[in-house]
Amino acid sequence: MIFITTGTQEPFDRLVKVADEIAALLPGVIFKVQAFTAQYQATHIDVVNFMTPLEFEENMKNASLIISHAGMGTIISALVNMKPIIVMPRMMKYKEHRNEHQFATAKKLDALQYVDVAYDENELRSKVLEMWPDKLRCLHQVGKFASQQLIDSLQTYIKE
Amino acid sequence: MNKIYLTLSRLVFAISDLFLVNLSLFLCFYFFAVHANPLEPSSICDFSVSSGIWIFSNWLFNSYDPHTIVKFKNVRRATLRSVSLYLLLFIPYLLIFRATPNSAAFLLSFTAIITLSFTLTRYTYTTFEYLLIKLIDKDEAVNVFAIASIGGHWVQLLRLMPLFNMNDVSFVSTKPGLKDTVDGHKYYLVPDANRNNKTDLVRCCLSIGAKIVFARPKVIVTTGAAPGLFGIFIGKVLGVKTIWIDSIANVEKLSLSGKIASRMADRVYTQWEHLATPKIIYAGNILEG
Repeated sequence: MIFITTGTQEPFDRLVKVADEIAALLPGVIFKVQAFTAQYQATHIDVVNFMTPLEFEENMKNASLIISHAGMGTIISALVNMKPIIVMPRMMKYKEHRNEHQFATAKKLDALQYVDVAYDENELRSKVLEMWPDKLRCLHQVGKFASQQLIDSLQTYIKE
Repeated sequence: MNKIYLTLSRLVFAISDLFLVNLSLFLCFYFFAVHANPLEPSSICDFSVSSGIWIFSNWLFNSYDPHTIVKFKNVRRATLRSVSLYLLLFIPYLLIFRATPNSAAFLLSFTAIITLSFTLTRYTYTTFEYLLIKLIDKDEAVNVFAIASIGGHWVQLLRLMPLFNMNDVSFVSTKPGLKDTVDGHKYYLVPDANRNNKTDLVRCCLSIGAKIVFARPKVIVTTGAAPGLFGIFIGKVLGVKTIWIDSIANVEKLSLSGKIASRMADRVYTQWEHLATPKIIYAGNILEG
């Protein structure tokens, strides 16, 4: 199963459109798609607007591949669950976000080799088709909690 | 046992404050002959209103809170704010109901006496309380408000769970479904808001304000975005310790909310070492456990 999510804030039709195209090229593969009020009408996949956190968590656990916007919520969940993830950053020029921070995040995580990044639809399509189904890999893994240094620093300050 | 000593000492403090404020009022009444007899009903009414407003002003600004009392900076702030609010509410009452020939002189003397006496007693008392706390070790869970909007902010907040488990935490967020992700902890729902909708922003801000006023957290920790910023703002006004942790998504510069927060919050963290400055702290991130 491929789990596609665009977060809860704003539409991200470019991602939904390319997911629809990929679904047409991969018959028989199950797609779960969460996208907020998208204008684009998908024909090969079912899109839901919102998932509860528990539904989200379950899809995350069952998926073989995650495709998402460059939102930290999804990225962290994928890294914790050791799931292969490809992110495509939202771009300000298409009015997909208020600023370019997703592009910056994606570039940084790409450089650190934490996640796979596709900077546009063509790159995403070719990356998925290249990896699916036997070249999927999880690049990086994280634990359940923040670094001990941060927790210690906060606790010391709280007790001050 | 330790907690009982501190509670008792603060109770004595609160009662002596109440005595002092009413004594000041009595002296001013007597000197300016506002009431013919200090025990007549209108005079008793004045003392009751004064006490009520005094208790409210001090409750609102945490004047008798351990966190406030043990620090001179916080005491100065809380005293200034609670005395100002008290005068702001009580003086109009006096002007409306107790006009005297000398009302200007009366109000001026009253303001001066109250300000002077409370500056003096608060500092004296803080010194005393500081010594008391030095004597009895204080190690108890702190009432913490953890605020984040849904999405990445919330996921990052939850990764601080070991911190919250050491304290008495209440979570605050914008979707009812998130309650399930923090089972066993207190959860407050507030209206969602982003900067595109002004009405929602106001509703969200008022709702968070009400929760902070009634739940009395000692510390506010937030990973953003708008609801967290409101938490920082209201917490700062009410003398609560405020901590902003800028999202790990802000790789190249602090977020706009982070920049605003860095002017108000008591402490601001970035999750990227290259963004740290003398004022903005880097101490690890929420990713690497």
